[in-house]
Amino acid sequence: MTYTYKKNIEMMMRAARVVPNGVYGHLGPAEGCMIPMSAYPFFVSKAKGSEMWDVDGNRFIDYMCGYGPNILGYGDPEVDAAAVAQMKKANCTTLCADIMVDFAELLTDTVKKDWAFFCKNGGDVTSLAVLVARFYTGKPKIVFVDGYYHGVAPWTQRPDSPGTLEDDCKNRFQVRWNDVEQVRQLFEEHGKEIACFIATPYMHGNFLDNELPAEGYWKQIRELCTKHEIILIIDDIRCGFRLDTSGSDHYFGIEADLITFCKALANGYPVSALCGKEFLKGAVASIPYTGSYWLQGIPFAAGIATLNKLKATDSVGYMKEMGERLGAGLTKTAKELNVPLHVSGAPSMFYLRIADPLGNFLLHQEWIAECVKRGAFLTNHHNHFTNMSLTPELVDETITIASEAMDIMVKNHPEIFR
Amino acid sequence: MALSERTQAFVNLYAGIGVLEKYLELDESAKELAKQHNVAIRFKVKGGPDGVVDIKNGACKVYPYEEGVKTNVVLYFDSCDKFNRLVAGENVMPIPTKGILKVLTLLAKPDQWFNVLTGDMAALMRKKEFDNDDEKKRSVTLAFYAMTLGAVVLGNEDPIAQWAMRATADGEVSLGIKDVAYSTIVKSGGKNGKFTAVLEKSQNPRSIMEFADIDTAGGVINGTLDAMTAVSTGRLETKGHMLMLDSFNKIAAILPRYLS
Ligand SMILES: Cc1ncc(COP(=O)(O)O)c(C=O)c1O
Repeated sequence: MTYTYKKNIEMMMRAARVVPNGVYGHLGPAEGCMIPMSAYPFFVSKAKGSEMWDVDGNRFIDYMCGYGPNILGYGDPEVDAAAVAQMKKANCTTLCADIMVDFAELLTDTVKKDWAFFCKNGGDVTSLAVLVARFYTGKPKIVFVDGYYHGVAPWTQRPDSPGTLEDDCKNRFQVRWNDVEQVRQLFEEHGKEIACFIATPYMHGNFLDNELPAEGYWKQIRELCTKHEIILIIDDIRCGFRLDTSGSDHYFGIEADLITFCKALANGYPVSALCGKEFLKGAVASIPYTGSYWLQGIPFAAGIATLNKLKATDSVGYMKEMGERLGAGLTKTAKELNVPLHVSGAPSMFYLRIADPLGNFLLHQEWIAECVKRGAFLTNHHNHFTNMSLTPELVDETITIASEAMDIMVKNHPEIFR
Repeated sequence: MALSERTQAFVNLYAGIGVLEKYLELDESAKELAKQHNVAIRFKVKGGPDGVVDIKNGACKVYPYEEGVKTNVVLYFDSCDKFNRLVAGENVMPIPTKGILKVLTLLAKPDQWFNVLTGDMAALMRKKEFDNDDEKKRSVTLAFYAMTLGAVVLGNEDPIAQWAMRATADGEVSLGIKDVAYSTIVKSGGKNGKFTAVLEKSQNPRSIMEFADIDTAGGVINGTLDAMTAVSTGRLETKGHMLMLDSFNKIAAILPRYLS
């Protein structure tokens, strides 16, 4: 028996009447990772650890982790207890919650930066990073890398994005991932106009096999940025604390000028941070930038509990191990069934793709659909996430589900898999 | 958003008039009327499109003019605006450079056969209340083909839509109304490439968008039902290379400004 979604669909019909797209953005079906949509539920009613239950009562082992925030497990008791304790003290108050200072000290110490500026979402801090770079350097242009995602602000978009103006997109260059020579040439020609180079620690774009940096890539980019007085921004919103608790710049052996954190920072409580080097502190202090909830206390308390718990054990090692265990299991089944499965990216943030001759992803989407309908929550063309609450038993259960799903997909295509 | 007269002229010729091809297939009386007139009309618009509306044996093709193509009538418009006004039904006289008499029988009066054909077709596409299911089906189907043609024209000609067209991976985007009508947008040539419309079902799609039924297609195309709500509620299936569809959606979002 595979899952059905009667109540999910009813709720989506209700939602669609009063909310644009029913569920908008990356959690909704319209953004393109839930394909075919009929395989997916839309609304969760309960989540704990690595599992979630939808409104029809279907249980899922969840490899999206809320698209990253869930790093310790949904409803982690220590984080929640810290949040509740802070709630009883003070949350959204006239003066800044005192706990901000504790969190800023812990975070800057953890990620080896000189200051931290807190907001709510990832896009808040990537936008701030660009403002800081432009103000400090007095230069206008941003260098992006193919396959990038830094949020949805107009400066990240192309002119064909509804609501974005052509003028919003003028000050930009885009380079290939892992191509130092192209960056070198661009900087030589246009270095005097370029404020910043912004990139994720490795290429974890959607619809593409994820790619780690080539040997020496980051070291050379760092040198080029320094030489041309270009601010190096590492967008660690997705990778942050999953590769290295001290920040992914250190994982790859360099020091970013600015680094952004968000998703995993407080295990689901809303806080993001821009952290940076001392020489940029004056610049960030000059920029008018604030928000109604940015200095509320609860997420700071949750963030402290999260970081302390992550640092108490070899957390990145564990999440890597779980990702490797799953990847190995899936690869074994794929080999047995002659399915060209590609597993890429960091193991704790694995990306999956079944190759097909036309490049239309249809076989892959069929496989993932069968996984989801059996309780392994994967999406099609986005990286996945492991988390600290995952157990070898849950991973093995996932491998069993995914193997059965792959077998069904293969049997549906005798013309391909003879 | 300021509309571009040039873009409008391309949409008018290749999507607005271009959909005559399907209208003549779908509507028997229109086909009968067209059968009486074998004619190849060249619309030559200064600063805009230069294309041929070729009507033969009750069938129609609209394609860009090329050296050597035989035409019976050449209509020259000294601006896109003038051509657009003609298409909008204003009394604008083009400058006939060939086939003066044919022009007079073609466009001079509203009751001339070509105006009757295009006028009836536009009225059918715009209709909101239908006499019967068959009429609704023809109306929505035509609007669906016009959407395909319009998206291709915009992708190739409109400065904003070109961004989306260039970003689209090479290959075929299959569009459809389940069991009723299908069309294909072919992207070729990579970042400096172009779109081509094929008003038939794709055999090798890289991405697929299919409306569950006529009502859904009609609602989305005429704007009473938003596409994402249709996706969310399962009435619009999308699968395959979703980034290609994302680009198509960006273009489709602009289209109502030019085709309505
Ligand atoms: C690398 C990266 N940067 C920025 C963002 C934007 O974050 P938010 O959606 O919280 O604004 C994301 C979100 O997925 C991301 O993955």
